[in-house]
Amino acid sequence: MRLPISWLGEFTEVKHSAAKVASLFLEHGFEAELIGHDLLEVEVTYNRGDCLSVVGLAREYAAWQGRALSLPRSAALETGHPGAHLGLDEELFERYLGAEISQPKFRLPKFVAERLKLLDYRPIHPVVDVTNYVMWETGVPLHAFDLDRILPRIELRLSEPGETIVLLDGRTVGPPAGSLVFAKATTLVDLIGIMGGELSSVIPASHRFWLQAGTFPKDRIYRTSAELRLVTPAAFRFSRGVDGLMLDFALGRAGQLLGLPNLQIFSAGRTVNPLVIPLNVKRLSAILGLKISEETIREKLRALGFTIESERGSGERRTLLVAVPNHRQHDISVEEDLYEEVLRLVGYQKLPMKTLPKSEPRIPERSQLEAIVTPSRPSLLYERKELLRENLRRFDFTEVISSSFVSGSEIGAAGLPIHRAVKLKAPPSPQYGFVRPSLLIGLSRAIAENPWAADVRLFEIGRVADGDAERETLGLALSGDGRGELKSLVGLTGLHLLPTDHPLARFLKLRRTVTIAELPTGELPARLFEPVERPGYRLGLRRPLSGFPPAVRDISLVVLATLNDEEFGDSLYRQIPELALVERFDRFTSPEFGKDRESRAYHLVFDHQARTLETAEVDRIMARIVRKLTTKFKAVVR
Amino acid sequence: MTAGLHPVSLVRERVVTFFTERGFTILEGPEVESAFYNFDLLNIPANHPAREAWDTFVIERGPAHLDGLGGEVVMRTHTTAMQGRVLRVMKPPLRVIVPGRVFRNEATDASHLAELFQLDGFLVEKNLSLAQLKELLAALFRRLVPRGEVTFIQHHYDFVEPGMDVRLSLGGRVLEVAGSGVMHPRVLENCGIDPKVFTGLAFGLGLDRLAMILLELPDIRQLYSMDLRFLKQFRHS
Repeated sequence: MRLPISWLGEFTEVKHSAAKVASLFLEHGFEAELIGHDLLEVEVTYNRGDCLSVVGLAREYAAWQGRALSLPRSAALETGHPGAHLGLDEELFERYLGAEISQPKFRLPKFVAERLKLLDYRPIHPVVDVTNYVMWETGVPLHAFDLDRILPRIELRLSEPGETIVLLDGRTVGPPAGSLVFAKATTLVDLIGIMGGELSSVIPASHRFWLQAGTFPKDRIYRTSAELRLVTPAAFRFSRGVDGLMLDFALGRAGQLLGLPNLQIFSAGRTVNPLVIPLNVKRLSAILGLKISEETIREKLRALGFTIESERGSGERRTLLVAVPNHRQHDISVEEDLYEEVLRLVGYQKLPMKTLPKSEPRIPERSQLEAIVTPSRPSLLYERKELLRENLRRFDFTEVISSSFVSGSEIGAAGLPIHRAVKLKAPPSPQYGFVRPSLLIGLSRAIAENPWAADVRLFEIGRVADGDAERETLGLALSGDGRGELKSLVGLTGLHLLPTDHPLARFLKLRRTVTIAELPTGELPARLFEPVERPGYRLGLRRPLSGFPPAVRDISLVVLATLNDEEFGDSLYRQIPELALVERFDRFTSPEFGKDRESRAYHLVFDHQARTLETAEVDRIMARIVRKLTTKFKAVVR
Repeated sequence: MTAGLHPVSLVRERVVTFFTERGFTILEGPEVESAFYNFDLLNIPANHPAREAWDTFVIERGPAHLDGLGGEVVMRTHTTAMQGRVLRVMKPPLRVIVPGRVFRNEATDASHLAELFQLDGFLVEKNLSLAQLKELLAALFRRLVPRGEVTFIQHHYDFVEPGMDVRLSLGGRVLEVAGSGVMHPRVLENCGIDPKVFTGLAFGLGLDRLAMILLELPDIRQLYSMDLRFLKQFRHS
């Protein structure tokens, strides 16, 4: 919601700098950013329809200062227009005001065009421009008809199935049955609250106008707007609730801007009785954890336009009966809403910090765990999963997290039954077509993403789903034929060998064999849950990830048997910026190496942040490394 | 030994430890969820701008077991979906955290993911107050990001009232790190709990956002890279 601060200033005194106004909005629950020297962009959440206008935001700002709003000049309204050209079904509107304006030409004050420009509205016609201006200013979407084009009569009714309307942007749409419309005989001429029809719209030749300000059942307007995917600024406001008590000022303001000091208006409908909410004074303080006096509660609520109708009781039972102002009827419904309003004005920063009493975690029973996730099966207890992770890491498997979504092609290539897969309704791309029925696809993708790595050993603990159920699953993946190892870890069930000619391997361009084991976490053998201590982990990024493919070189060294691989790696990382990874993959002793010495072999993985390294560069880096190894680590390169 | 654990797992473990020390039970739930638990029970009605504010992946053909609840089936948009599941089975006093994967149907970029990890928490006891929630969350972020400074401001969520956002100032930037508030009375009533007898406090935070802060990642999508040059950096020290 774009807010020129000078416009705000027409409704209440603005004493603060633009930057301070922005931070005040933020403190009171509205994210605000200064986007021009006099212009704020204020985020209004969907529950505050009343703030989709300068008046609404001014009312808030004034309330925080403890000041009242002052409304600028508007035309005097006199009821008496018969409105004979209108057939209004009482059930289909709440309040309706209309004014007849007979004048071919208008001269608008300069600031109207200036402000509309700030809001990215281009001028169309003075009467239409004024409706846009007033909507922005008051939150009431006014609508202007060419009066001669709607005579003799328009009916307010619900649309029938199959009816269409030509909108003023030239498009023809078919609103869902039960949409609010104005019809002239059998032709629809206005999609109420959303957009006017071409047949009734203001045109350059128009010289008589019908200007309407109304409130209508917002759920109907919202539904039509959503189904047609037509979210105009008017529809946006109606969907979130327009204040019926603002209609008079809005119409009068329009008249004023059009140069008319008086308007004779047609008026119909009723206002809603305000909702009265009992507020327990002591409970407010207890729930917030901050003592707030009754006096302060009254002051803050009054500032926001609430009225305290009466009070009763005393002490613990002291209760105020709070009447909700019309513009807040759409977002205030329970006592706790009032607590938030009071706290908002007192200031969240004033809330103290209180410690929770100590407590021991409750251990749920198995039957409770089952009831909570029914009819899914419960996952492994979190602590068991952490133990599993640590065990798998000790077996030298690295944890990966793959996408929960897969494409239909991948499901087919993996040989999984697609008719049982969980399908998305309107996936943004084929990659989001289905929920993964297995971890197979994600793990295979992960191996495919590391073609340079000699040995890939991965695990994933994740949820998969199919037509019957969702279950938590462990997947293990090895490059090469790892059936022997995986069988010894998890047994034979759920073991798959993917040779390079397997459809999934071809689809993912996997140029080597992959072995995958997959089992529900509830069916894993005890050997994966050895009680081991979790060591500390590095939670820091040593080196940003390069988007360029690495080069790998192997090196064999004879080193002191006491050499710590981690320190060795760290030392190399510090000295060689192109080094992405150092991994030992072999070690052995032999008398030929001498006492206290052994042979170790390492994969060295090199890359660059901005490009693919050339072979000659890698050769030079290797030479540097060999020199360092010989001097610093007294290593003998084999 | 060069294998690593995923940074999201490591961050999650730090957060979980903080809460288990304070008496929270860890529970997990389904990712494919009914709109009833994900929205309706949480005071987010259908056909309303409130529901539209969520970018939801809707399921066309889902696990048969969710059909019994009627209504739409969705990929859960928040771990808050577990509140109703838990509170209809386990009665107060209760403190629960729910880590898990959630889904947002929006375009991904350097700071937005479609698949993210959250941790929701809620307490339902007698005599709880928002001031206790403030202390709890301040202590959490003090432990996780010692050089950051937290502030608390009002924010609207349908399932809490009053609602409260936690913002972290770090290195000149301000980030939203958690949403929280007093559980809305309607949510408690929907779980068969009397809001005049018990008070609920609830909060939710993004584990990926936290990981991004702790790792100083320029692009959140990197967090889910499957490249071993990234994954193997998170080894035991």
